Amino acid sequence: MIEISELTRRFGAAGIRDVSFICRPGSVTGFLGPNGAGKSTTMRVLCGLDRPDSGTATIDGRPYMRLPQPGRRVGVMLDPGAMHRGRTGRETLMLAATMLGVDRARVAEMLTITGLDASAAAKRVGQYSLGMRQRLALGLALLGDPGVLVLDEPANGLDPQGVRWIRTLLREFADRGGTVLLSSHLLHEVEVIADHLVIINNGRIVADGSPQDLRSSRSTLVRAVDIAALAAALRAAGQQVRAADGGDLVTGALVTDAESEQVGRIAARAGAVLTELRPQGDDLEELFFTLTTTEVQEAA
Amino acid sequence: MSTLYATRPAPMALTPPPLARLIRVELRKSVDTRAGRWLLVLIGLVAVGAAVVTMVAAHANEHNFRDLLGNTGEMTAILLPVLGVLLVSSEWSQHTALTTFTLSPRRGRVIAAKAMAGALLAVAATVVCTAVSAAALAAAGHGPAGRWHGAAAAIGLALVFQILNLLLGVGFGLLFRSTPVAVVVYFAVPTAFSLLTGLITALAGTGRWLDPSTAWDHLASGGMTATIWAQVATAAAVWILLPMLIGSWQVLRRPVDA
Repeated sequence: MIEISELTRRFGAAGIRDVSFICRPGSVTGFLGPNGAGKSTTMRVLCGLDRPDSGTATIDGRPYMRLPQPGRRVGVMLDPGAMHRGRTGRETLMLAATMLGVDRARVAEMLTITGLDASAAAKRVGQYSLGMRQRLALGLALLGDPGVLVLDEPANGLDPQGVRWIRTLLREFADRGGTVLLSSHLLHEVEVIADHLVIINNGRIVADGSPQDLRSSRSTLVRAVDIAALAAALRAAGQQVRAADGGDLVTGALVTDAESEQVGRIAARAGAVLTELRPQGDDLEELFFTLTTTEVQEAA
Repeated sequence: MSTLYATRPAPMALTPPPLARLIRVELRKSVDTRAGRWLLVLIGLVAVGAAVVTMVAAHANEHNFRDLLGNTGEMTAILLPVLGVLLVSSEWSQHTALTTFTLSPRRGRVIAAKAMAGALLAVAATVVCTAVSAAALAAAGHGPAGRWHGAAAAIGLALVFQILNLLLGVGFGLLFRSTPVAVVVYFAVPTAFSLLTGLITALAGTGRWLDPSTAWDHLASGGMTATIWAQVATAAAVWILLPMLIGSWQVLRRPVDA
């Protein structure tokens, strides 16, 4: 189990603030957000590579640094570029196997599982394609036979077969009781296999729940002739208002948690002319875009 | 894919990897790339070259074990710090620090393993220099009487000399964490320092206490006195201990750069 609690790590105005979520055994947690939202920072702090300003991140109730043999408990893949270009694939695994104290036969198993054949294993990593490096990095993460996986953008650079392979692998891993945390900036990459989604934007968690929960958290999309006036009226009525999908509150559409009827009444009282009014939320993608664009607007 | 779960252990029963295993990994890292292997081959060739040149070109009164070992030691010592630099800086230049420190998050243990692997490589270099010197002397057949005189003491001093030179590289590697920067600084700064203390007579006295090339070379060339031992120690403190302490502190405190 991974428990992240009120984790804060500032880099000037950027970084992560009060990030909290839990990844349970037997589940795949998709950690979603645009590039630079704070996914990698969260994972780096979780793995003891960076210190938090405040808050805690634990695996099995202990900070990563305090795990007696983290490589045997947690498989980590943060950067497939973190391999010596002059070593062969097999040697890269062999060094890690020595550090972890696992059987050498495990190296051959990992090469088989990741689909790196004998000639690929004997090549130097510098000659690998991004996809091959990604496979080797996954083999490295799985080498210590861990119960927890922390993977940053694992599908990056993989071809469609590779993406499918990793999906099957992670699903099976979780179904056997493993805990998986994987990040992505692409919703469609994770929504197929994740049974838990955590969405981060601008360093803050903006959504946390099962895909079903997130789909049913309905909101209403509204367009009006004078969108700014409508936004003011909704706010005056105590409703939360966000700009929709990359727009702004002057010419674009707005999204509110109020139901359509409520919005209609408030608009009528304010004399606002509506041009579009529809409930949304069934579409996870739209929710993702809404959640990950509004914060930027507010911060700007 | 049952192989994924081949040997699930009780997670908390595990103990951290013993230091000996980390040292073995560090030694393996220094020979498992082409660059690393070539550097070791080059060091061996330099030792052979130095011994051959001594036997062929040097005056006959240098045809003794102590001078041979001194010459091979001094020549290989030019490259040994590079080996030490690479032990550390390649983790950053090759972006492997991220992988190393996720597998072994107690960074102090990794640093200790690197320093000890460095010391073992220095022992190996001394063994090579000793063997090459002995072989050169034996191959020459008859020579001046007493040519093996003081061999044991010379080997002991050569060992200290090689370890100091290798650790100098480890310290520079820790301090700069970039292979080109550490290597350039290693070649440039002590030389510049020697030139400076050589040119400015006021600094000459201080230089003997701080300049590794004057103090440490006595280990290879002989003539050790209590004062020279003290000078060896002060130069080691400035050029090895200080960079190691500052560099280690930075590695322990700072986020691991990708």
